[in-house]
Amino acid sequence: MSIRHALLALLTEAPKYGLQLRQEFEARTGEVWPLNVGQVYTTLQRLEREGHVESDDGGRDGAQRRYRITAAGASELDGWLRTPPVAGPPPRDELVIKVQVAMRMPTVDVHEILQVHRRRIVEEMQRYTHLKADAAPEDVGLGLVVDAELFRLEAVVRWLDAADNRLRRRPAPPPPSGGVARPPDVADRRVPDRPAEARR
Amino acid sequence: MTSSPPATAAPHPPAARPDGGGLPARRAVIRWAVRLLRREWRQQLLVIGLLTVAVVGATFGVSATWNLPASSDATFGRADQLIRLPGDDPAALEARIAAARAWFGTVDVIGHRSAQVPGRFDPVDIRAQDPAGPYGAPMLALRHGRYPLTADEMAVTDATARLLRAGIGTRVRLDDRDRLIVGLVENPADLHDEFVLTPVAPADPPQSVAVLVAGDRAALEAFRDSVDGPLVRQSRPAATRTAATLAALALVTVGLLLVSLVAAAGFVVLAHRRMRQLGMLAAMGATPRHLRLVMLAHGAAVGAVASVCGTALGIAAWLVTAGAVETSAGHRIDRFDLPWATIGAGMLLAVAAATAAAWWPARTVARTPIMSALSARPPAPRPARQSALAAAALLAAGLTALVSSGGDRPVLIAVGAVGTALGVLLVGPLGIRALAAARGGLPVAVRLALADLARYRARAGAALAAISLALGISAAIVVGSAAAEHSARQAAGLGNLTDGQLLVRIGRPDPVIPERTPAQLAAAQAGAEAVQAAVAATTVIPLDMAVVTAYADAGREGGATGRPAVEIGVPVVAGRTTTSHPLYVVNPGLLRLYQVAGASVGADTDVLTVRGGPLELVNIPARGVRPATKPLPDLGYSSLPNSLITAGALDRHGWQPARVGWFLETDHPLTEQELATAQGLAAGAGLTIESRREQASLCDLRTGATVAGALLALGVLAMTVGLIRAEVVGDIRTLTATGAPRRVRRTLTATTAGALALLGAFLGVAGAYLALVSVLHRDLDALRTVPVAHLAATTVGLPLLATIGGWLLAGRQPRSFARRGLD
Amino acid sequence: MSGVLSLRQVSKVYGSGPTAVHALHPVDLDVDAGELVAVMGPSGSGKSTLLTVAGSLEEPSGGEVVVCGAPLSTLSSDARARLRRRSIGFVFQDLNLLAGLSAVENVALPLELDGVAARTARVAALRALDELGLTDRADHYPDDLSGGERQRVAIARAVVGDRRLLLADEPTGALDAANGEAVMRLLRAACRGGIAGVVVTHDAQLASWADRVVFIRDGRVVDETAPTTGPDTLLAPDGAA
Repeated sequence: MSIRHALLALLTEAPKYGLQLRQEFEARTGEVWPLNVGQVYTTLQRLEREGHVESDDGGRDGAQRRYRITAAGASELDGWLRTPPVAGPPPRDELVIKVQVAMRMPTVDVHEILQVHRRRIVEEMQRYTHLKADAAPEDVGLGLVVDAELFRLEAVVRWLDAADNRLRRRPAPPPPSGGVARPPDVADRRVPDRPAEARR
Repeated sequence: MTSSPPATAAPHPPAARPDGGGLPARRAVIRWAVRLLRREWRQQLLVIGLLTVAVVGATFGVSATWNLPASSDATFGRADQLIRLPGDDPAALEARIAAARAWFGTVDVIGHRSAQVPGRFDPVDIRAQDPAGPYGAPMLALRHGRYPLTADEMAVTDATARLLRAGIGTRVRLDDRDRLIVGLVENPADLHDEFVLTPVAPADPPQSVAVLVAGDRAALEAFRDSVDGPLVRQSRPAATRTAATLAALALVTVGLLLVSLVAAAGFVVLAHRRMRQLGMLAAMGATPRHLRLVMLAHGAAVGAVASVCGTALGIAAWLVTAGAVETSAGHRIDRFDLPWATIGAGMLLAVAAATAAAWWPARTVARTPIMSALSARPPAPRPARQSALAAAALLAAGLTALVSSGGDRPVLIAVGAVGTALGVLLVGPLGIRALAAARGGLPVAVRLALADLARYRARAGAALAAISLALGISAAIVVGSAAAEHSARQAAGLGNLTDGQLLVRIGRPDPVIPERTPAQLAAAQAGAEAVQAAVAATTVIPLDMAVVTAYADAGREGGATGRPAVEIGVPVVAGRTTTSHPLYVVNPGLLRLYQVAGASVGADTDVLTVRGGPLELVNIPARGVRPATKPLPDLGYSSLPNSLITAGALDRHGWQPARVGWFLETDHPLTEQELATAQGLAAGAGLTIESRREQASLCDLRTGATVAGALLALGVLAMTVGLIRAEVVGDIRTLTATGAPRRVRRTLTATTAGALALLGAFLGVAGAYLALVSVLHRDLDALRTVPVAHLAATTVGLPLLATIGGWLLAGRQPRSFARRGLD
Repeated sequence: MSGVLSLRQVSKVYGSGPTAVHALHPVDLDVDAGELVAVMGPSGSGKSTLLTVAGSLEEPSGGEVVVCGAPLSTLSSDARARLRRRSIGFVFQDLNLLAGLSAVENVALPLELDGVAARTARVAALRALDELGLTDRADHYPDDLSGGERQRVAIARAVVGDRRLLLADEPTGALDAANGEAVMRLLRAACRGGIAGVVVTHDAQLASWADRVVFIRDGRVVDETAPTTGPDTLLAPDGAA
């Protein structure tokens, strides 16, 4: 999320004071991304320098100043909305690296590692979901942000599940490693014809 | 959307509610069952239809049996008792009537005279009766004209009018008196009661009198004690009408039971369809009793619908056809006089039968574990060995009961039949399994169909049971009626004559042959020739009997005096009475008839006969004359001259032949028209004619039973096959996806239908034969006449029809394909 | 808070001998009133078995299930049926409603089965439907309702009367995201009102609606989330709770 463009977007509605801009930003993003005041003023100063916004009164302190978007700022915002997000190579995923490492360590139960992460992520999802559940349903901004986080986290859980299955099916490592080998589990076999599950 | 949480406060005090849910629960469950029936009545059409047909039959049958039996009103009118008095002594008769009148108060006297009508065997009854008599009034009704008032007037019944070739306004000489026919009358309670009605007052002295009186039997016995001498008396029989109706109802019950077996198959299918919903109901907290109630309520509702529709249709059918029934019943019928109580009982029976049919599926449903129900998994079928044992035990018990019944103990027969039927029904699932096991090497579609039959054994078994039962009953009727006909033929032969033969007799068949003048004989000969010409007879054989010329006989009942005709008799019990049969004199024509060469008859042979055992010549002065006999082939017709006396025997005893008649044979079946003409000619010449008396053939019954069984079986097949195929629609889709042509779908359905029909036909016929063999084990000859055509129609035709039908109908996509989501 | 559902060393084995399938190894689970617990696991992990055993639809092979203080093993099948109509509500993935009965009749059915007069039951059912925003659909038949509406009616039926325990098996499995969220909101609201809820699912988003998530794998409970301390932990200290 670009704070620059979010502030520009807020200024398209009406000229606003710096403090007001910070409060509205937080409100619109469902208070998920807290901003500190310094960030706001630094950004505003840069925007003003670039000629994307202008302020009423150069002499007053930042919080008291009222900012207004310029024509150049409006065209910058419009261009940004239409520009696709940066599509570079995916960032190196720390979780993937951790699992790959754990998989090769005979003293570590990789499934347990997976479960630790799964639980942590589900707990995080719970917090987001509860936030959504307790908010008013008309709070669309919050819903959008929370859903984005939930879908992202869910994707991680699904990757964990897939990894879990993949690791279960891998051939046993050539040197038998002590302690972590799970007993063969009869419940691995699918219980036949359970009504709800059979449909999936 | 955030709603306030559903209220959980204020818990109802649980103790206030009945434990099992009580009436509200039952009402809710029944309401659901009825709603489902309303929603899915189309799937129940076969069951509803069958039950409706059964109820229509019941209502109509009960109405008909209520109205069909001859009412004793025909003889008793409104009276309770009847006294018959001889009229040979007019004074004594008067005294008796006066005594009866004094004893009983009101009496109704009906005088009878019998008069001969030329050309007719039976005399006609001349009845002197008061149409407004206190008791006899219901025995008379005027159709046309008026009642006779004077001694030279009379009224006649329709058949008598035809017999006399007369109508209203014609004068007829009868009983030595000319009378004018003034009216057409009938006995409404017995339309076959044919008589001539004359007024009471100026009547000729009666030969006998019937006195109708009121009062109970005790009063009659008291009166009998007050008079001297014998007194012929008769009491009105207890009402047989109710008994007959109840018997009809009993028959209906049996029919309903059979239909309810088919219905049970339908309900099993239905229960399976609803398995998931019933599971849901159980998950919601319905007890097994509630689940059972759902099915029972469904059965009862189906029964109620069928019984209301069936009764309405049955009564309507009765009202429409009552007029036609009247002619065959032989008495007038009040079409609105119906046994309402019995009809009501029939309706209740239909509901009860349908409910009973739902009992087994209801029990299965109630016993299915909830999770199995929720996943629509049928409960595991019983192990094969267990059902095989049960089948064997039931079969053995049933057949034992049938064998020991000896064919004449109804309870044992009923028990045995039910046991055998149940045993055969239990064999069904085993048959399906065997068929499925034997499928290796067949084309894949056939293999798949057979495997599915085994997979859906519960419903396939139910359907198979219904099919084999329907076909078994039809086969039992077919085979049984053939056996019965065989036995009857053994006993009674093929009838009296073929339909191309006539016996023309001079006068009446009588062992006393009057002396006839040559002129009389010539007239008779001329009459016979006229008859021969009228029917275009190709063979004419004169018939002579041997008469004992040395002896004159007074004849019977006022007949002319004549010579006794020699007859042949079979001693029934030594020293007592013998049954005698006519004996005709051998002539070439008769020998040709039996294809016996004349030369082969030895000179010392007295009699050629089809009869065996000890025989003697009777109706002769001598006793114990044992003739030397030679056997004749039995042609099977009882009125054919089948015992012939040789000319040698005549010579030895000094008897003379006397012409008694002619045997005529045509090359075509005689038509009604020809017979009527012959009858007319014969009556004119003083001859009597005997033609074939129609023997009821049971062939129509057999065809009817075969068709009905086949229709029933096809209906059940349609229901079952449609269901099984709809459920394996996924397999078909897979098959189609793997490139199987549409032919495969057709083969699947055709195989399913054909296999079920074949198994059902085989089991049904086998069961029917098993049962009949057990019943008739002393007389297995009766079963030798196999009604091949009918049985072939069942065992070959029906499976073929089912297969072809399945093939043709499977072209369409199953309808339930799209509606699978919402069952 | 009192325990509404308690599973003590509950196990379930299908079949016997070499073909036996251990759907549940001894499992412990407690659910309190007002608590929504999600049981999460992949297909075949035994989570549905856990639900049906907890709801008295199946009997466990070992261990004891206690619902509202009553050990199920001591109850007759009729008494278990009574418990189901009075205290336990089920919501399955689909086909929850009885065809042939309207929405309100479906909701009223458990009450009527329990002996409540039809009129009283209807009033209670209408109230339950009203709370779920379904007043105008009350007289519609299941065929005429959308998937989401059907699930909402099923929830109304599961909570109507004095229910203590709500058991749901993938209740949103057949729904789109928006309808699924609406259904989960209702379930959560029902639990906030004092009912103990158990949802089994393989779906993390669905599970995240719960106060507590129990992870099940191969018939064993392998893990569970820490009780959430409330949404404020996620936010800046001044965030609204």
